[in-house]
Amino acid sequence: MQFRLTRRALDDLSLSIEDYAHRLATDYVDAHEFVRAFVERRQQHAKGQEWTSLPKTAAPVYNLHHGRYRGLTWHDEESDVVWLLGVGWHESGSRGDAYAMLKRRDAAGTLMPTEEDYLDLEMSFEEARSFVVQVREQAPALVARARERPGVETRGVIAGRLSAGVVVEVVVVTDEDESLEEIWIAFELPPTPGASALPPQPEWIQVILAAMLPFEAGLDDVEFGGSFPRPGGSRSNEIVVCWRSF
Amino acid sequence: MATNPVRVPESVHGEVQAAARLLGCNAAELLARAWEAYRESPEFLSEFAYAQKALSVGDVDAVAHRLHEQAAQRARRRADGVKALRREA
Repeated sequence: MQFRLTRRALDDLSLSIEDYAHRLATDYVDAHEFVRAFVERRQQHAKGQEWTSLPKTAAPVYNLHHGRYRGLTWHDEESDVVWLLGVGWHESGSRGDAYAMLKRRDAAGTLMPTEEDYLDLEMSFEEARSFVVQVREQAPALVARARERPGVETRGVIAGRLSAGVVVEVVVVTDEDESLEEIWIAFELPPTPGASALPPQPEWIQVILAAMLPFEAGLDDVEFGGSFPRPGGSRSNEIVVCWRSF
Repeated sequence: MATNPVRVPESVHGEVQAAARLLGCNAAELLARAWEAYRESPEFLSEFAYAQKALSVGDVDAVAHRLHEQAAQRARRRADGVKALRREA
């Protein structure tokens, strides 16, 4: 689960959108006391205990109090993100009261996360390019290292985050001057923590496999699943892939 | 720095979470099954072929553009999902 501030909430707290919009709130709790309160409370309860009914949006949003600050949070289960939607100053009964102001935003359609907020969850083009550059170099190199030691699992980390094991089995057909190469990959899940950004699961697997497979081979030659050739076989947290070539 | 949770496509993920709640079983196991289904989808096949072709000629930018495009589409779908929560008078 991620904890994020919408651009609107960052603005409410006078925090720089440029500096913080792409980041997890857990990474900048020191930037503002309300960010710390948001992360600490919602790590304990993603939703909260006291909810507010919004005038226009049918979503369960919860109140967050800290000193005289008041905010609204929403657990977006589909994206697995807890959002801090907006923050204001408590002035009970006043038109400027935080909750009244946040409800007015909902009525105007400016409270909930926008397309820009959701884009902030994603890799930038530069991050995507950096990922692809690393994969293009490291994925084939891992297979090449495994080829040097047939039958032995070679482990490596791709893009600083994705741990994988590779085994190359070579079957030589006697008197036929032919050999069959079987390549097994086990991707370990989840990715390890690290500085580099990753695309979501199906996309990173697509790119890594595309970098590993010879161009003449297609997905028709690939088998997913099966028992990785090591003592004990595949582990429950692995995605296992195998292909064969003559 | 942006990070991403490990997930299969949102539609599948949502169904998996709902199924896990209903069936009282392990969401991780269901997610693994959902991944198995996704990898056979036409979308996966076409994206894979595109990436393989681009990487074979060293076109890193093409793959990065496609990843970025997919991210933008995902952001649009999510924002549309939020808009759909509005009760219009």
